[in-house]
Amino acid sequence: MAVSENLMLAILAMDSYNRGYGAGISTLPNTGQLGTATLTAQKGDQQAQTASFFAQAYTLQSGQTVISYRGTDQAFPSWQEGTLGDVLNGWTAAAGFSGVTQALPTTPSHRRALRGWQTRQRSDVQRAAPDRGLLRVAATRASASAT
Amino acid sequence: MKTLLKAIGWFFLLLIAIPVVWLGSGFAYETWQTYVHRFRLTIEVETPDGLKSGSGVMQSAWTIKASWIPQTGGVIPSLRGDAVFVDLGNGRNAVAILGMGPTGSQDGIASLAALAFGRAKPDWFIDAPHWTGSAELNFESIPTLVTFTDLNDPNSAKAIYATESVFAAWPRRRVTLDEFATTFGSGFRLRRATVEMVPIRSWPLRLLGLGGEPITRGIEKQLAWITQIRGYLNGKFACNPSIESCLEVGHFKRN
Repeated sequence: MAVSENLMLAILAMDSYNRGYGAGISTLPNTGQLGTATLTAQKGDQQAQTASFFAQAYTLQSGQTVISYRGTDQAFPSWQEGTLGDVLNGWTAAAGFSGVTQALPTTPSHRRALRGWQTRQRSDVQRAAPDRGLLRVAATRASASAT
Repeated sequence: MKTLLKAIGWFFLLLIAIPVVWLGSGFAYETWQTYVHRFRLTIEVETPDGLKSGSGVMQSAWTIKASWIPQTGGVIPSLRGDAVFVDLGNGRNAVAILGMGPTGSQDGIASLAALAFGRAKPDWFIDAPHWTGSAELNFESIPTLVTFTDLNDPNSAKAIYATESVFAAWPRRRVTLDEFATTFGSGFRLRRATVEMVPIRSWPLRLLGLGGEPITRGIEKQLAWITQIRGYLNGKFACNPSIESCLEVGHFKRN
């Protein structure tokens, strides 16, 4: 049975919580396929961890790149990890503070870096559909949160 | 008028007080529900010149998340410590990094004690602070080992031993890379890795990292570039574990 595009994007939005550091399902690999989507680049180094941030990029069969962000997974600062958590790093973005550390990696230049090799290989597709996947994932996640 | 002002005052007080109490209760809960243990990881390598080993004390902390706060559920594992450096002599080296998998992109170091003692059951970390003794890690649970052909060049790292999660009928791990002999020559072999539980002070001193067996530091003596690099060693913003090494500073030092 074919999976609708919106459902696939919702799955990818959820999947970022199960990849990289602090994954919900810790046994999933960071490479390979999820349905028809191929896992590509990710941002989960210590720099990202300090900001309680993680992002995973996927390539769909159409060649489109989807970037799924993880944010609402650790609300509070941690003495053990030396992190400030989502309240200080991310929630404040809702109040208009675009300079918070979780928002910085989502800037256009960083999005380009995240899809790096993809951009080089499929620049024609990127020009044709700039950031559509990202926006759709964001919209899907927003509607999922609202429900 | 006075009553109205009083009512407005109470309204704004509640507007501030409710979120503060709500968030504060979550923060207090997570601080209380943090379970910390420390262990010494020892790596032993057989060489033609005899047995070489290196060890380091690490701290693993597990926090049960407050379910009434908008965040994912479950627990947050965290690790503090340095990678374990093994000097193999004649300029050769092996470093057990703070990561697993062929590109170091898999978590699991915070669970090493449970893996070594065969106690990886739900909520194992609650009892772990009371564990004592030492146990050998099976070969599928040993952290990824890398070697540097030039200790001053972070990009000269090469994985020589790695295991990988296999998600088949049930989750398990397998050794996918063992290149001690091909990298260093015959006579070199990973002999074993052990985990020894070490004492840690009780709450609240442990929150501040005070007391108990100190966490081993000093990997920057061997890898001086640690203090100069942030993020991935190849200098990129992101990493694709399918096609490149995902080694980053956090694989060698976590504060």
